Amino acid sequence: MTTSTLTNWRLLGASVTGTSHTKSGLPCQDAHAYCEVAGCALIAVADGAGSAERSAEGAQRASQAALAAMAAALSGGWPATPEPWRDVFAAAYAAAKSELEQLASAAGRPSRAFATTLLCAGISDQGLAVAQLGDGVAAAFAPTGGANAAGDWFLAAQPQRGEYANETYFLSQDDALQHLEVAVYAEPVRALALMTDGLLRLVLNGQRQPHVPFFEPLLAFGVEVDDAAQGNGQLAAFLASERVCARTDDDKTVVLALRLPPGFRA
Amino acid sequence: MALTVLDQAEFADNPEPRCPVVLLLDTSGSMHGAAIGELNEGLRAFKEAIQADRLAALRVEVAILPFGGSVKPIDVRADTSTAFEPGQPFVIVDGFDPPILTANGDTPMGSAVRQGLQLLRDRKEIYKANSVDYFRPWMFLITDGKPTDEWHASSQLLRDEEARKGVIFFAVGVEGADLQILGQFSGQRAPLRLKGLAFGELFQWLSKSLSAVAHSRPGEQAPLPPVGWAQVDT
Repeated sequence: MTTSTLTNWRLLGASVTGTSHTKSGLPCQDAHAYCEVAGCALIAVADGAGSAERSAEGAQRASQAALAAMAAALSGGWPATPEPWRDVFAAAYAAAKSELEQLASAAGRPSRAFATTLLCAGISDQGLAVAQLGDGVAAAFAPTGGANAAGDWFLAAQPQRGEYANETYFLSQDDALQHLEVAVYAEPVRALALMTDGLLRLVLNGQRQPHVPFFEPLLAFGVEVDDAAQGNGQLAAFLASERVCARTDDDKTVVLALRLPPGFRA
Repeated sequence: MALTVLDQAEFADNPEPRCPVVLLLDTSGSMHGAAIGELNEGLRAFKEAIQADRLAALRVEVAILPFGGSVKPIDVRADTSTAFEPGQPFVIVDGFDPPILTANGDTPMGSAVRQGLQLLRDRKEIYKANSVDYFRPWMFLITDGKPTDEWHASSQLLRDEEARKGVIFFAVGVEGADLQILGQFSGQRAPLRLKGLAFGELFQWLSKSLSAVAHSRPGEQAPLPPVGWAQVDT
């Protein structure tokens, strides 16, 4: 048995192919990556563009590159002020964009063949920082201790949409970094869920806020999980379930970060 | 897999994004007989084809603006338990009752295009007010003649809206249509001439195209199916 590590965050994640993709033989074009560094949980979630022929790879490589850049930047711990976050994310997204360009150059294809959205987050006891390019969603749980459960979940990142339902921004476009949106929250966030847009209409209510009857059981599930690998399997099975597929035929991703009790050893 | 508390996760109930299409249909006197008959059949085929795609049936919304003598939107709702609002004639295909159109009168095409654009503009405002997402609207015009009303201003309005990417416009000329005039309505796309009275094929194509749009995700240029129903001018 290896020595256990002091761990602040439980991290669970799954990306599942949508039924429209399984029907047409396309791979899952969603990807995700996460890790814990210096007591902070770091997450990246990516959704490859539908008709871009290498977007599955684009999503995977972009999320991994962004995570590696964030991990390096956070190795000294959470920034003492909110200011550094814009640069941390700008660098992470530039690294991810550059990764797509290298892939494109090696393959002799244009960058847009690897087009993907990218949503990133860092979370610690000191707060939450989120960067958005595209149409993913981030829902955060900050207990207020009040009786109003709905007040505890808030939308930390919302989808960027053009006028039309099938328009958003992609990392591969030339002006991508100009559309990056960064937000830093000082609330003591205890749980965070990052999702791609396949689940959008299932998890946000008519006021475009987190639909609590979805997020409460998701949180309860995360708390109950003993074994992360088993938890990931159960999350994937849920995303692949008939109940979910009846409502969306898109690829689906959920990454969940939960604050563990102090002194928890993995 | 064992039951988990995830089975208790409830989903929000949100409206599907909408793909609005307004059909501007020439019902002038010259369409009388076989032409209007085939057109009506085509509308039935259109509904059936889209309904086979459950997602498209809930996303594609239709409004029909026949123009023959006069122009005004008609009530094509299957559920007529509430009053018809001519300002909001759109209905999702699942709730669409194909009309039986009759042919009579002249060809107020200019007015039809102007009204069609207004209907789409108003529909977008309703979507925005109700937080409903939408795809770029389609305007589809079928004629067997040429306008008998003032049409230059309308065609400019349409070209401007196309340039703004506010609408996707297709024009189809049936035998007898003046394609030269029809061609002036769009800055993006030449009009096509229908093969005989192949309305069935035309509406199958339209339903496939709209289904492709209804399924399209960010970053997808939904390629349109091949246009088998059109004549190639030699």
